Amino acid sequence: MLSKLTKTVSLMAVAATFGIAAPVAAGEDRMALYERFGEIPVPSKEYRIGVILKTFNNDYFIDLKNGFQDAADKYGVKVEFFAAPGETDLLIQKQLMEDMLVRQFDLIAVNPSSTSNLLEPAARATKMGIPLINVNDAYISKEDQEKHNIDIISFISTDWAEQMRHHVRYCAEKLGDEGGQIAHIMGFPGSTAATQRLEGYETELAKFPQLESVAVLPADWDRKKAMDVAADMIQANPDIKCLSASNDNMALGAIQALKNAGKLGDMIVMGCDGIPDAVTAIQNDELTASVAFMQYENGYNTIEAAILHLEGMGDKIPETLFANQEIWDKSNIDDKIANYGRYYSGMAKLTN
Amino acid sequence: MTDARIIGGAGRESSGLITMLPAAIESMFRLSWRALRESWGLILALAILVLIFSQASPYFLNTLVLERILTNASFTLIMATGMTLVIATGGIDVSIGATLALSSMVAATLMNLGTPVLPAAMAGLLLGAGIGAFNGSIISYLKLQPFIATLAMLSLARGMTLIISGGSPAFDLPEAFTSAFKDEMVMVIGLGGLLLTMLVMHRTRLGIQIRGIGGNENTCYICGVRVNALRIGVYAFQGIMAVLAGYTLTASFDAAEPTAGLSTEWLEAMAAPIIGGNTMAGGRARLFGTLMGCLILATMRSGLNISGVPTAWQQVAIGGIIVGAVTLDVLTNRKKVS
Repeated sequence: MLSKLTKTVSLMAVAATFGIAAPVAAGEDRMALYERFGEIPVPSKEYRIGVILKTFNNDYFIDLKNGFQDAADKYGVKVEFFAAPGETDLLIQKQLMEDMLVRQFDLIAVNPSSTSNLLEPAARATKMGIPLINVNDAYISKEDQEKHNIDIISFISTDWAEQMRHHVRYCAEKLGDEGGQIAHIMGFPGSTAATQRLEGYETELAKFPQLESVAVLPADWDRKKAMDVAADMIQANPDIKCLSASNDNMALGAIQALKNAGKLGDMIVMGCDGIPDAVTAIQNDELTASVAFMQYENGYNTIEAAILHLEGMGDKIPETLFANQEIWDKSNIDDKIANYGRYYSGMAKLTN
Repeated sequence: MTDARIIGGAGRESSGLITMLPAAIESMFRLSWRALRESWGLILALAILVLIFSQASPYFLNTLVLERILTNASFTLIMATGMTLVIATGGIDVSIGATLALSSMVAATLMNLGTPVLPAAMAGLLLGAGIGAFNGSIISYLKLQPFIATLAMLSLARGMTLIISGGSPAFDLPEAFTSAFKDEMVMVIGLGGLLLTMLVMHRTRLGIQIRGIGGNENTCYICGVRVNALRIGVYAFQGIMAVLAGYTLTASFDAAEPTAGLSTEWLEAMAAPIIGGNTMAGGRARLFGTLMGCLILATMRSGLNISGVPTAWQQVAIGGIIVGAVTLDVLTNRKKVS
């Protein structure tokens, strides 16, 4: 009895870690998946919510923005977007947020470009009584919140480490008991996503003794560099069975290296993010899988959390909330292309 | 201006400076009058900007906004003051953003390793001066184009920053450091640096000689001006100003970021002197114009932010203003010649 119970619980836990996203039939309203908080009250007034993002100039942020906008339209709140020209424009983003503060928003959602560049305006916002939600990385750490007197309601983001755990598990599943050699191409050393993804890869690997990690090398998120790195990896370890790349760009670079070596199709190559090029590569049987995550959902959840907080129901909001993740591979990619246009602007481009 | 007063060469500046000090106030008064005459167009432009933005957004006329504009302008001013001198010698320094990042990272890393604040900050300043002096040296002795020399330095310093930091920011800096470069200190450093530089540039032989290098380097050399030494000094000064700007940025982030200075701050540091009427050909140092350039850029940024104009359009606007300012400069000069 007891063992049966623990089994069920552990099964549920496994299901939870593998991504809550259940397969959804075509045409079904996927929004049901995003309602993490249950019933959201009707806002008592037309709240104005300010959103400051790193930049607008890639699909990733457009998806996030769409999530914000859709939820805002649904609940009848106003949302205004601000963003620096590029992800490295730390100072411009700081000045932008400082200027946002005079516009009397009811709540501000921040997606800082670095862990530190928005500390000063965030502290000022708290002083002015404007509630803050931290969306996506960079994350304003607990220590910094305390040191600078910043109140952040919730951290609504993506579990980077979990993505690479997906990679390792996928690899273990495909290779079976026999196992084999695996290697990881990491992103720009020092960036949050690269560091946490590497950590996820390493911790999960410890659970699968049949997998042997033979190399971990950085390729700085870059396709060309990843091509060189992957070429070196397969040169030095001809028996490699599985390549885990920290993003899709680098996975595509690795595929180019495999093509050049005439080894494409001999091994599992996994990317991350679900960019359009990667989707095409999965369709063409070049890329094995990509771990995609719902950027859209982070925006959507943030608006819901904002309404809950402003309506005095802040106790329903967890301190951290991670978006769903899914593995896309040959088995499900056609379904994703058909149904995900709204959530991945890159996907919409593919179907058009 | 580059007349017979240059003759006599360098070497007696220090005593000259001291005797200058009692007359400083009177000098400042005369300087401000001259600055007003030279830059009334810029003052008018600033006034028009304020008028437009106060009509565009009800939130613009606000003490918080004023404070932000003054702080942001002061930050740019710190770098732009040094840049004005570099431009006056007929040069350019595109490495300031990288110098700023490297020296801040070195100082912050030293502090995190347990070095007391003062030596660590001094080490950063020395490094900045060293980078500047190196720039000046290769420009002077290897006869490299200033743009190319400093472009090489940009790459070098940025790479060193990433190597030292491993790509991640250095945080948890001592309170003594951050409080010394934070908030109103940005304005103190910016305006203090500007006033001192104005005195030197407009009231000492040294200033005349620096402008002389940009005006006609050969003549200066023949007259006994130590052209190379002065140029190296100017670039070193620019390096120090970049470090000071870097320290204020580090203090406000409470961390030294490896990507600091990658943003448009270094571009604005070059744009402000140009908007202020300093020609790239050199020979002119309108520091008051530089100040107005900084104020115009900061006002425009804040005003557009508050009016909800996307930041990409702001870059377009800044580009437009630079082209406009240069065109105006070219046209007025042409009129004088003809």
